[in-house]
Amino acid sequence: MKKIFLFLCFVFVSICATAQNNDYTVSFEGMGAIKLGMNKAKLEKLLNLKILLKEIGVGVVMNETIKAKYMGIDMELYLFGDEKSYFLEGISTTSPLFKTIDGIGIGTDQLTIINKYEKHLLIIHPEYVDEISAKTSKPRTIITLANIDNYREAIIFTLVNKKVVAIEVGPTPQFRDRE
Amino acid sequence: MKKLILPAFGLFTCLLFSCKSKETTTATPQNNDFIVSMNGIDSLKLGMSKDGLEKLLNTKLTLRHITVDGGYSDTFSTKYKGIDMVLYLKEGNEQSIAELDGIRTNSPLCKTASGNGVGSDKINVIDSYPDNTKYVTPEYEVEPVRSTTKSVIAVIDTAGSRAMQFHIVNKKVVSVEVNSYYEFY
Repeated sequence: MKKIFLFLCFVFVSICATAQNNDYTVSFEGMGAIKLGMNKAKLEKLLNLKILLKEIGVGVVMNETIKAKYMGIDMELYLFGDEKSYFLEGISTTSPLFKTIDGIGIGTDQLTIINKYEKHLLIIHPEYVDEISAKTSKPRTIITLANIDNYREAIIFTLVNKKVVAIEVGPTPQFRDRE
Repeated sequence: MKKLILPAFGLFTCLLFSCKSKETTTATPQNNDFIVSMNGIDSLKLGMSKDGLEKLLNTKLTLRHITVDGGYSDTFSTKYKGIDMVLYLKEGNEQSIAELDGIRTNSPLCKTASGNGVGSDKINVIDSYPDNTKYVTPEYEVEPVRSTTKSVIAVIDTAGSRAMQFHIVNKKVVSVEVNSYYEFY
């Protein structure tokens, strides 16, 4: 009887741990329960917030960044569309709780990312302070991990001195305009 | 005296080996190396006309596609100063007819200014160009199947669309390529 009880406890703890890990999993689809493509209604329900637009709908502006909390963690949400129908195009976080299924997250070094994702496309470049003059920020590097099966989907790591400091999920910037 | 000679010999041997290992990790081009840059390899420069190439290589390049069957590129395997090279020509203007669009070699004598070439580590290549955008991707075995051991690093010119491509097998460079244009596919 005691053994059965212990076994059930173990199963319960395992299920809880798995559920908790899934809450913070970063993938090409999104972060945890927040999935790219979610509309206003789904986002408001999941995050228990009321989205008040300030930029989308002003003139021809079609994107807006809003701050939100997900399970107590600060997130930035990138919305795209018009006033009536917009959706989640991207998410970013600096929380160390979020990791890819391979364990890549805040603090991971550049070499680990390069070795871990040999089967995907990696686009590595310095962060541009000014896109027009191509002035770069020396210690900051961007590694875009583009899904090799759909190169428009990406997980974007920002690194400072070769360590990840922020993670973003969204469209691959380099292929936005590709037909 | 004999006691002194033995440690001195040991020290000399250690120094010799340490120098040798330093040379392989931070190799710099030697005088007899051919410099690989965004412009080309040694005197072979991207954009050179077919005529210019023929003079430089002292050989006749017979086009099989450009101006022949409507194709817009031709590939030639040739030797340049005794080194095997593959030259990619694209359609040129009325005067040039065809122009040098890319060069590829697997010769260890061809190195970039930072010393990268055949035998260099994949990570060294990535670290050598902090100011450039780099595309690191598995190569196709047979499209659409991507290789698990072969990859390519395309280092893009900061000012234009030219690129140096380092073809990698098992994390070591096996050939170097310079192109006037790179696009991931």
